[in-house]
Amino acid sequence: MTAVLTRICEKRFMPLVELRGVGKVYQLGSTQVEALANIDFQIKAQEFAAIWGPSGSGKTSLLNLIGLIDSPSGGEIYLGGERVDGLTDDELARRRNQKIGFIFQHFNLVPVLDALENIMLPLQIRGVRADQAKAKARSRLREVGLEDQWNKRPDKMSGGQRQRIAIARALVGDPALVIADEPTANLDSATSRLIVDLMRELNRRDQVTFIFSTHDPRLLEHVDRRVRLEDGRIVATE
Amino acid sequence: MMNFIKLGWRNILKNRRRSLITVLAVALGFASINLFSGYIHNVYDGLAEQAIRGEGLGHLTLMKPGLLKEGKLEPEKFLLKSDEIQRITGLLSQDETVRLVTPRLAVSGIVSNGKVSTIFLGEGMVPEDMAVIRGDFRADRGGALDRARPAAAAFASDLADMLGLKQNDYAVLVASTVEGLTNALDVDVGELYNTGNAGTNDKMLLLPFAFAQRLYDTEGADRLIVLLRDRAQTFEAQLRLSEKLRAAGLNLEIKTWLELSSFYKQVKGLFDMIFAFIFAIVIVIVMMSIINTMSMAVVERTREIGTLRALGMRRWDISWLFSVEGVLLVVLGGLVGVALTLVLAWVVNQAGFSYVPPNNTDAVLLQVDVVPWVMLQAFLFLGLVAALAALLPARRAARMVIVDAMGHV
Repeated sequence: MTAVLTRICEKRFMPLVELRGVGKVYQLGSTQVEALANIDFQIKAQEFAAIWGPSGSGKTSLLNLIGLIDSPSGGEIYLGGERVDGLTDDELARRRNQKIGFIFQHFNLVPVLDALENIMLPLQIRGVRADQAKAKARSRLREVGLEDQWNKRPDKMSGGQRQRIAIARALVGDPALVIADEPTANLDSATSRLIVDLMRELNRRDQVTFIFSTHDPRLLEHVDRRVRLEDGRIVATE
Repeated sequence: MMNFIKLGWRNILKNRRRSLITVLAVALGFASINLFSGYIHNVYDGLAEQAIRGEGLGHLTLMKPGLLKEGKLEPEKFLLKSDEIQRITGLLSQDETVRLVTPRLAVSGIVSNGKVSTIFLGEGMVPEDMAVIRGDFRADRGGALDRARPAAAAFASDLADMLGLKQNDYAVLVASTVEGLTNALDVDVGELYNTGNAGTNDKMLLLPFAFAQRLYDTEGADRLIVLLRDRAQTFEAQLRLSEKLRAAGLNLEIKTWLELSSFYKQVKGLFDMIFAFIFAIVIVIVMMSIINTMSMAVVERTREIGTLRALGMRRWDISWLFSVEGVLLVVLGGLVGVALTLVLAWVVNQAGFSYVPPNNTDAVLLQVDVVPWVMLQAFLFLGLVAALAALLPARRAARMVIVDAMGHV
């Protein structure tokens, strides 16, 4: 009984994401570029955190590592207590699909699929039955306020609408973590504000952990925690 | 899989012009394979009928082992005696696939019109059985034997021309008997006919079987011809009848018409080689088209590949995605190719083109058969080739580093 309680407590207070001494070095021809150096960093469950800093500070590199779409040159990465930096490509794909949602700066919707089909995509990759995936996708579409746009393809939507579709897609698989890389960079300030509000609302309501990168100081006032990166190093956490 | 098909289909529609060019390349290649295979199918069928019915080989030929190699040296040793003929005929006739068993005797020698002479190759056959074997095959060529005229032979037209013989004239046949003595018989000129082959149309004589026996001075035959109810049963019947004869203690060799018709084998060998050559060219065209189209698709959709990988698609799934798209292009090309084949085959068959094949004496009609199972085989093979061709760019797509693909512009 004690052991079970210990595990529950450990799990409850365990960081959702933990990086220990993580570094990332890119090889550009004969030159090595150190994008990240000795990063120690934790994200707790249900946090709404921002990584910010100037261009080239390593924000995207850090999110790529947390999102398991890139591998570190050194250090350890834990997701939900599981060390993930040594997993095979297929295992990483499965973790991404089941535990992580992505929101990209350029929206990255599949152009030949309509809004609903784009949102269904992570579930269909997971192997969920089409009718169940459709019902779930409709529900997420409703949450982002685009239910009437379900059959529109991305090229017929505004930037804000596309990003809302991307948010619905990121959340449709009920991930533990949503990673958003510069989600408002291609949007006007009013739409940016709406997008951040929407993410914040979903974070509070669904208790989903959000971590996003930005260099827009106006968005930082909405976050629980700000992590400032400079030259591939964490220089401040507020 | 349904998602892959949906994605593939929509991407094909999205790039209509490029897809159309690929589909047309596949369709034209597929149609050319179908038309040529349909043409040679028609030729093979015609040659098979010519061998079986025209040359009178039947479906199976029974003989004593070694007849074809040593029969001329010791003819008596290889002759089937009349009691053997009766026994074998009775045995084989019980088989339900056998329609007819008839004796045959080859005789050769010199034919003379009284002034000049030339060599002949004679084939002694039972007139009414010959009519059964021939059926309605090229009745316009003539050459039927008349049972009521036991001394009348059908002369190949060039042979008759060489000797200035017309129907109802008479000539003299001089030949060696089975014991090597010389024998001569008067023969009436019956029907003139065209063998269809320039190599034999100046030599062949069709003789009533009893007349050939008299000329050869024997009561036997050198072969027994078996006509089956269906050509498709040939090889099965060969095995079964061989077994039956062996069980009855009869040591006989059974050859199929295919083994005996060297002309068929030569033509088939030539056409098969040409077909393989055309098929190889089409395969290369299809492969290059698919590789080109799918490579362009991979480049254009690099960011999408990165996104799909980020969302959890495995490398293998990405390979599948593009392979399915390649196969879809071939399926479309195949469907258009089938339509094209049907239209072009109809046009060719209606046009009535004719040509004179090598070694032939008269023109034959250019006809194209539509052979569904050959089309299906070619279609499946092209589909497989397309999948393999698409796999090359698909593997490249699958191996992309996700962050590089996502950053692709």
